[in-house]
Amino acid sequence: MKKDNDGIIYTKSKCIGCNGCMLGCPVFDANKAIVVNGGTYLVVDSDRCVHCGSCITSCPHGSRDYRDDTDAFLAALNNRENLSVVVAPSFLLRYPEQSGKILNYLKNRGVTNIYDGGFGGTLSTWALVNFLENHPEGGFAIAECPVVVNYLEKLSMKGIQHLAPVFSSVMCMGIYIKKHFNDTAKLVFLGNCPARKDEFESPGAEGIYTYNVTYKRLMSRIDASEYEDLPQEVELDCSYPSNMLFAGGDAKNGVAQFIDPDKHVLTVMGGQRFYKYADSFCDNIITSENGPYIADILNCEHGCLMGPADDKNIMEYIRVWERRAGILAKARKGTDEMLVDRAGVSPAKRLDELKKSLNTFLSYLNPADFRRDFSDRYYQQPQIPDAIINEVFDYMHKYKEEERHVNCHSCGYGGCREMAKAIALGINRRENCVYFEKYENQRLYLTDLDTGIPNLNSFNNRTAELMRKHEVSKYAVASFSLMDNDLMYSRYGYDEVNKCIKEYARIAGSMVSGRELIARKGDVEFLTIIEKNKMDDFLLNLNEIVVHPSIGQREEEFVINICAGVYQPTEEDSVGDIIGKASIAHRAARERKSPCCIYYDDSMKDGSVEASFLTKAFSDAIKKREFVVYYQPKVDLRSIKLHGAEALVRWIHNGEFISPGRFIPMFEKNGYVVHVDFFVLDQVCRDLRAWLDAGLKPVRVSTNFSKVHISNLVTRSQRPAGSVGGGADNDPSHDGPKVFQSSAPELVGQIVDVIDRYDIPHELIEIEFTETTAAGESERLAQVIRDLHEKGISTSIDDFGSGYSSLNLLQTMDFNVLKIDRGFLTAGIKDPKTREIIASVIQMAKALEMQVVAEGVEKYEELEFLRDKGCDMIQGYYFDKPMPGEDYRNRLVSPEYEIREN
Amino acid sequence: MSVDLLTGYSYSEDPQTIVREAASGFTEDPGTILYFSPVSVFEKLTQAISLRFPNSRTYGVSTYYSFFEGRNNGNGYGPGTVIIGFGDSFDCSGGVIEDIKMHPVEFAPAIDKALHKVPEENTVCLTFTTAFYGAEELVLDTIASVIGNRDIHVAGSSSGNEKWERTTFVSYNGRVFSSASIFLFVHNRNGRIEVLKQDMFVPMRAEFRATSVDIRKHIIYELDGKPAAAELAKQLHFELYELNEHLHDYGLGRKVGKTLYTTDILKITREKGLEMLAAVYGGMKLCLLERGKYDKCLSNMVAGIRKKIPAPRFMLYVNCISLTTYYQNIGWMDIFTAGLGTLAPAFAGISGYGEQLDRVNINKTLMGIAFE
Repeated sequence: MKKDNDGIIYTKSKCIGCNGCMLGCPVFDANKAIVVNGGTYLVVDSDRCVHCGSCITSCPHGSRDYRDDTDAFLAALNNRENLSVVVAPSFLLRYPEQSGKILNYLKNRGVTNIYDGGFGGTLSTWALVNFLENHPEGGFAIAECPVVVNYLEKLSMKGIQHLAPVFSSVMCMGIYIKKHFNDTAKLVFLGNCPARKDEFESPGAEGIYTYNVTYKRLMSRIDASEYEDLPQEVELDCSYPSNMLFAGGDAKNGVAQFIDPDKHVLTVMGGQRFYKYADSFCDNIITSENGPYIADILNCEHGCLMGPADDKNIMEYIRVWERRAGILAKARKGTDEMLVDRAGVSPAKRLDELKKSLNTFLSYLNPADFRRDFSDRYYQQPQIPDAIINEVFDYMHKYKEEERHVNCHSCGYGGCREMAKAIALGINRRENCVYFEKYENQRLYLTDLDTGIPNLNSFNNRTAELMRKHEVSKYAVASFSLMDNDLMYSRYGYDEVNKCIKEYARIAGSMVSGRELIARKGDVEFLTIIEKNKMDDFLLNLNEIVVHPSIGQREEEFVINICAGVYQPTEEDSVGDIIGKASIAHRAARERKSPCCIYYDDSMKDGSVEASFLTKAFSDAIKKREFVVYYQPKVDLRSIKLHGAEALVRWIHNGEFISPGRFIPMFEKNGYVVHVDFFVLDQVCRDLRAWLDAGLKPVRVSTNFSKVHISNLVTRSQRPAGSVGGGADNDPSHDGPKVFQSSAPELVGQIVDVIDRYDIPHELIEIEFTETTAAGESERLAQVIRDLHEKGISTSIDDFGSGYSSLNLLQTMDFNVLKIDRGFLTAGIKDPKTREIIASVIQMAKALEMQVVAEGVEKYEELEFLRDKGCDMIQGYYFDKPMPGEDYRNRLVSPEYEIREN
Repeated sequence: MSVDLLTGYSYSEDPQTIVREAASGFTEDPGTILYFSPVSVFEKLTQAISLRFPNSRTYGVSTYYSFFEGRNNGNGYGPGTVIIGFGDSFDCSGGVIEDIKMHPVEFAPAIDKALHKVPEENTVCLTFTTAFYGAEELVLDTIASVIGNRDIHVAGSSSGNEKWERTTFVSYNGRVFSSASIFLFVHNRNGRIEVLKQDMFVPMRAEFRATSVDIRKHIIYELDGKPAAAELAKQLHFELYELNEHLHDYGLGRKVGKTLYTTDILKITREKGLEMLAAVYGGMKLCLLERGKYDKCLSNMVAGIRKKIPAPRFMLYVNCISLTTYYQNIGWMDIFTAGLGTLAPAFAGISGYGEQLDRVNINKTLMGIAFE
């Protein structure tokens, strides 16, 4: 069994899959569609192709071609191998100005003999007539055309029973040359039929011809300058005027002369007229009592005058035919027995004369020498049951009867059913069906490819449809996401989670009905539009879906929880409004970090608008240095002198003061806070440098570093390949959030870089951290603190007591300073519990050798209480509010404070 | 003729002894002989049987194992020979289909001729085809084209080889064929004939679409657009190199309603496709199958047949070679064969490389043909 595209006819790489090749192809399964990189191409099944060449003609892109032996022949010529050429008579007609020159060129190149192949027609006529003498019942097709033989061998179960077992004229010529002339050269046939090679390789023909060379290919390989000066006249062996009779390959000028004129000799020029009736021809016509005595069927419309390896042009054909007629008319005046006017001479007498004529030099030839055997290559096509065809139609997304009879023929077949059959047989692909592709394009537009449920486009369409019909207010829209996906990814891995999302989507999709719809928005986020009164139950059911991830061979059950935001649309909403409002509610639900459902109200929208505004304004704010550093002094309670300050960021946007309380939480969510922190550190160092240069003695300034820095830290082994080290992107011109991934030493290195850039003594800087509770982050924070201390940079824990695990932190980390959260003082020191707690914290910090700073001190009583309990410094409105750098500079000049009793 | 239904068996490896032992109860030519026998003795046994029953048409099939009712010696199984004689209470007519690789349809007229010799009612067409030519489907197509809409089930088996080798035979009237199919229409004069199949393999979660196939070579190249072997390995959590040794533990199936048609995976091809024991059509949805409860297959068969024919007089079984070897491996052959014997006073069975039912070529299946 040959591989696809290995045979005489093949597809070149420029095939675009237009199916044009199938239009004229007489064999249902000779073309095979394959999909490569998403594109459909057609290749040739070399076992099924009959080599008729119709696809070469019908392919509009020139992507079908044939193989012949021209290059091998020319190589053999270059190697000076012993070669003889048999020339088809049509060559002389087809190229009247060049044929002789080319043949002379071949002779000059070393070809031993050049034979006129037309004489083979006389030989095959003689052999055929001999055969018919022994089979007077007739009913045979002449095996002259290799394509017709291929067709009958491969596609007609009884075809070979009706082929006259005599070689073609070309083969008879070859056999004759070998026997009569003992020509030991490798024989080359020069013709216009690529399929002739099939006969050369057929049983009994082995070793006669070595090369099948076509005119077209040969002409394209030889430069005209190499032969144009050579003479056109050429002397051919076995050249007789009657040879021209056989130039067309048809038998009516040959064997028909020797058959009783009452017997029907059927000539069919053009296989397309025959192939579809071939079975009927074999089963009924040729065997019927009044059927043809002999049939001469040629694949090519113009017989062998213009074969598949020829440029087909009707005008050229007419000229070739005229040339042939002219030569024969002239020759009939000569003595060639085959050309003598035989009107009134009986076929039997003609046969006698032919024999006598031939026997003068064929006395030792035997008709058996020209006898041919045929190969039964007919393969019974599997019958595809209707159930299978129907399943294939479903696979092609043709569900309705009318969809199964579109019959656009774009696939190249006779109709949709044939295409379905071809798909079932494995010779075509649904991607080759225009209807499917249209459906598929639509599906791709409306479907989430991973899960198969509708996508956002589909959701938009459905919502818009309900709005058009003024029914949207009967529905509610939910935006929801699956929870615990991090846990799933870490436990089951990416592939399994994807399978689970698919399973979830399939189950969820089966829960909607009518015009309801559930769509995947992305990753683990979905949108659904459900009848209003069903929404709560629906969400409850969604929250109980069980999926089945596997670990190895073991399957587990995993209950998926969701958080959802719901919006009830009004007729005034746009689709965008509806999705936006559901998403806002969804965002609020997500922040709860537990399974829940929240209904939208307008207050949520305000928060959302603010977030959007701040996020958009951030980039410009960095560039325009809209962030400003304020300093709030810290006063030593023993000396009542300025002992330090906390740098605090302020945002002045278009003259408007934006409170940190508005933007810091937002920037902690989107990660921008990292840029803000480095911006503040940079400005602090810049100011310190200026004050130092001015001869002032600045005190230590603490600057806040958000816990986001710690969340972004990864160990070196976690860092993805190719990621750039260096951690936080401190480029203030960046346009959006980035993933900051660095190691603890790299973060510390960046802090130190900023400090050292301004040549600031390290002891003047203190980094304030807030508490963190996330798994793994405490260890990373401890590492950062250690590294900062190594560099001589102090650290403090900010807002102590406001988090969840402050005491744990003190156990594992060595902060230099503890800052008591202002919340304690807000509660009021009159409360005995508060007093006790503050006192204990101060005592504990002291025991741990930490300095203590109390924030938010506003009253004299608070100051007194704190001083009494041993607190080192206070920070608050009692002494100073946060102030711009210029004002703080004055404090550096006059660092003393006074204690007021109210 | 005055015989009704005869069965006999022999473990011998000598053809003459086989005939003597297995046909000891055959006092006359029954008219139609069907026998299952190992490859090693098949050719000589075929001659011996033809000589022994000159007035009977004989049909033979090589088998991996034969199953038989052993009367006094208990029920049996093994790479032995079982001979079935269809006598007076049956009308039989059959023949041979040659050239199965290319165009068995050429033999449609012969099938048609045989079909017309038996009544339509209570008739089954038994067919046995030499294995590994990918011809079973073509043979079934051919038989179906002749039977048309008639209410006649087609049931049969690919022939087998006791050494798990690829050479298998069928015979018809003393002629042995290595690439052919025999068919035999059996009409039960005494009552109904029912055919039932049971699967041992059950669907797993994974489903595929066969997107590229060669049905002539029985190869699936792609599942869901991806190289078939790799996709299968992925679903089974094997590395590709590990898959080969596990292939027989799984199968692929096509579900049609509640019916499952199982196909065995023979091997991984060079192109990383899957060579199957039966043809898989392009575009078909396939489910991955794993071995189910092995005893269900038998118990469902017994229950199913009883529901259709409470007391059959004869059961003919076709049990897939892969099921037989599995039962051997787990030491369950005695129980299995005893179970086969519970339905009817006489039974016989064959174990080959595939099963055929109506128009479908299947594997890993137990099939029972019950004669009332």
